[in-house]
Amino acid sequence: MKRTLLLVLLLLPALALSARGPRFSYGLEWGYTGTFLRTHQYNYIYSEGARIVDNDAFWWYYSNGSVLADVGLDLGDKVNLSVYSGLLGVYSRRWMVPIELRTRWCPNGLENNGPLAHLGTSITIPTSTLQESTLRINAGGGYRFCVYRHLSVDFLMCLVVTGDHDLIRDPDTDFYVPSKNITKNYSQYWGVNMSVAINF
Amino acid sequence: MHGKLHIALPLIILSLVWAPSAAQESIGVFNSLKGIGATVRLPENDGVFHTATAFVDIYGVATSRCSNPGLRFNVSRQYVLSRVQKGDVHLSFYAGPGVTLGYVRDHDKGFGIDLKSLFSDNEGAVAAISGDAGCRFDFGGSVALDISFASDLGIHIRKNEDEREYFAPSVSIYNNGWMQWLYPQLTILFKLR
Repeated sequence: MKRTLLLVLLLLPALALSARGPRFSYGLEWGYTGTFLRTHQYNYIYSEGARIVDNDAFWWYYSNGSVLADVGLDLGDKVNLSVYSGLLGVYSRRWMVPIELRTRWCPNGLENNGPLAHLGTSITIPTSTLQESTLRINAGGGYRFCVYRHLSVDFLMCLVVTGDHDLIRDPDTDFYVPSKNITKNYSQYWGVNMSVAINF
Repeated sequence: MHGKLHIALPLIILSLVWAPSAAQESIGVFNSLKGIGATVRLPENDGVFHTATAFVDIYGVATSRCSNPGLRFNVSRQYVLSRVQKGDVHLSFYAGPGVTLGYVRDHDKGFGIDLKSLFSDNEGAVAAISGDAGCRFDFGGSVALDISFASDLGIHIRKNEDEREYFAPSVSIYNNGWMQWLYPQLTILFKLR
């Protein structure tokens, strides 16, 4: 998946050149994410030598924020392809840096008032480790207000699924389980994001 | 308190939007590193206009330290200082005083990163006098943008966390009020008439 994303990123300039009249676009986006579901799949050996397999999901509401900046290309009159990065709060005491590729489709045109839909996939890197990257997917829509020439404001709402690798604690010692003893360590955070974006 | 917050906030925003319907000029979305909320701006009269803002205070939430935000309300009286016309864009520079009330967390241990401050849960009531200055960008359409900076000088009243056995209020200067004065505030304004 990561290779595919990288390939698309590399093909982006070629796509832009093949499209008629590409224009660079820039933007800022900030928003609120209400995380409502957390799932995890753990498989590890703890200090007493026994293996623990723990798969669970639970509903729990948590508020986070996000701040992103984007650079992209208008591919034609209705489609924009952009790369986003910034900071995402993910659940408790956890920040991530995403590198996201997002497609936006405005049926009324990129520089007109009207609804829009977007779909994005990102590689997210936790700020605490700056490694063990995971995937994040968002899909949603909103409404665009054209303010002046290329300046526009978007109000967006989307469903977000963020993957993560947790720091697993040993149930006996409460120390972190060393990575060599972990066979599986995945968690997912499901949330709804509401954000505002300015494009120029 | 926070269980009711999710109900109270939409009601407050709706009341702000509907209450002055006879005279309002524009409603807006308030965006800042301080928080996100709603704004009502009354029509300008003799170079003076009034602004009412309600927003969720994200201090602590933005750093993933806690999940529940605070609430802040501000009413300001603004004086237009100058106007500039640049092509199709009309700029209005303004400044003025106001009053801030709310229920928020505060930075209570000096400057920089302080572990005790970061992990303390010092929610409390705030009452302050505010001052702000900004610029409104009017592009001639139905949407205008406003960038401003604001500072609050006031007090923060909260439960004293060292006295858990009985209610012992602690009063201090509302530090975030002046420490956040450089946080830009962007308001997206929708003209209603």
